[in-house]
Amino acid sequence: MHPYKNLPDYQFWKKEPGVGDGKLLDPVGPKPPFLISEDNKIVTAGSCFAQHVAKFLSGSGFLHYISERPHPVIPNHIAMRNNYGKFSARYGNVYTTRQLKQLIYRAFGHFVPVAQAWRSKFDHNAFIDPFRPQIQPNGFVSEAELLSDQQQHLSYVRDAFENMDVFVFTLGLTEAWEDVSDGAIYPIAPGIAGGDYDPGKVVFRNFDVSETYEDLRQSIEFLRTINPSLRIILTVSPVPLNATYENRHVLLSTTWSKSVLRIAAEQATCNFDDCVYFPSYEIITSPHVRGKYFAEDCREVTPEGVKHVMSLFLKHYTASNGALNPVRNMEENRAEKHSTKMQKIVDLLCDEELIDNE
Amino acid sequence: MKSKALVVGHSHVNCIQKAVNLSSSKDFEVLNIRQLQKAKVLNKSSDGLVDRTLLRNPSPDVICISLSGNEHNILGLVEDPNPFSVGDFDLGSVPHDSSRWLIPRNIMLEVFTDKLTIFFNQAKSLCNSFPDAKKMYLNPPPPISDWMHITRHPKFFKEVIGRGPAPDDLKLELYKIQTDVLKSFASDLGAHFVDAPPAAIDDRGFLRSEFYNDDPTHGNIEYGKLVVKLIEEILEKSDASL
Repeated sequence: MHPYKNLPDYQFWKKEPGVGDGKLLDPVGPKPPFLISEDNKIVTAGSCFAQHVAKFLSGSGFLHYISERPHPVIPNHIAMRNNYGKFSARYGNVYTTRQLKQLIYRAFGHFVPVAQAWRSKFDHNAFIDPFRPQIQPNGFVSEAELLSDQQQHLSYVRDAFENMDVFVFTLGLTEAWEDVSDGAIYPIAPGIAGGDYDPGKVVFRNFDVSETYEDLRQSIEFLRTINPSLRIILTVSPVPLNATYENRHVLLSTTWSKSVLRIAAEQATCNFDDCVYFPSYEIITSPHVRGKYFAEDCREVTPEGVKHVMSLFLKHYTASNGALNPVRNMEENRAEKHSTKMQKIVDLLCDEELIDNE
Repeated sequence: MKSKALVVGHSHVNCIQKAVNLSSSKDFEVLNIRQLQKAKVLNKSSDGLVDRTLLRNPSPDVICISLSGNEHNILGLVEDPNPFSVGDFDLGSVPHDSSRWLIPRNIMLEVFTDKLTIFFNQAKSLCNSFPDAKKMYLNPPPPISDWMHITRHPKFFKEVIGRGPAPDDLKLELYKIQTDVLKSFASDLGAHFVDAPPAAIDDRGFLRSEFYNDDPTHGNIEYGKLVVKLIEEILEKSDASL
């Protein structure tokens, strides 16, 4: 007799089928405390990898809840270029847990940052939002317009957080830039896409485990106060850091950062009910898949990797094996019809003008 | 000797054609692309849309293009089922009403560019058909604000008139954005951009009532006369400017 006797297979490395065939790797378990149904509103946020999750959810019939939709007069390709639908609202990548907390607090009026708008680096006449600097490739035409859009955006963020049933948050980074005047966190350093880098005005931050967990804890507690039955799925992005400001190799910073995020996520799952960890990070980086899920740049995750992750997500977190029906907003359909109808009317009128002229 | 002008476009050239017909001018020839399509005189060859052998003046001195141009009316003649505003430089949004769905200005600019690019390509083909001619791009008339006129002459808009008018400031803003896109196209074509005749525009920027056609979007023969006069003035003023 010994303490490991009769433990489940998944607790033993050699019993993992993925050792022989990486595609069979399935580290999800034990059984999650909840399943996602097709009418559950899922809100997504996080780093680059979270975009893959969101895209998959949108394309597979889940109700990926998009509160900030493009107006129906905006064609899809333009909407996509302007980052509508990538996440539940146009907040762009939320890399750190501090950034998540800040987004929530801003949406509910608990924090109003000093910085409002930056001049774009690419078009001096354009303005960009310091808190979602790449949300609109051509920027905003004025600070006033940016603030109007920001106000609208934050109302959609509130809508998403108040109405979601499931929140999927992908923790991505620990490094960030902080405004010394009020502690506001910027997703990318000023001077890259816009604004000016002034070492006297911003400081580099690399959040440790306690800071990362504390921000995550406060975020979850706030969300649960406005949405008590919220279920939460945390993941860690397997995508390595693009760059580090720490004076060390970026690979070392990546390991440090992912370790911190992984521990913070684990702490949250231990301390909150209905808060689970989904092992995206482990699936992509595991020795079982022998690096095959990273693209040639050793950083981007391949479509096969995303597919592996999301197929396990479907398998373990839904009862319907992903056979869900896409949901479309009726109002949107009606508006699309209006736009098409107006085009037809103008065409008819122009034809009649021609007849009148003959 | 007066310059020979070829005016080519869609429905907004009809008022110009009426004005030219009335004056019996031989210096202007007006072609409606839809008319060409109907008469099957569209040249499908790679160098352009118009078969110049069918023209009265096969080698015009200037080609004036006015393709499409009702996109602002498609979006803003009547209130949208999802009432929207567009981003504004000073106010943030026009109309300045936070209950409306804000579409940032640069995104609306992309929407118009997307809708109008097909006509820009047609305009390029037309310019290729007449490489030696000077080029002008005619802005369509501004929107009509008089809802009474629109409801009296709704034509095919009858079925959507019940939605009521879009706000006046939105109509003007959409027209401005469309104008910005067309100006940029004109610049790319090397064409002189000819804005709507100032005499036809009221102090708010709308089409003056005496220039309304009997429909919600077009100018009448009097408007056509003003455009012809404007083209003649530009031609007389400075050849070098074209």
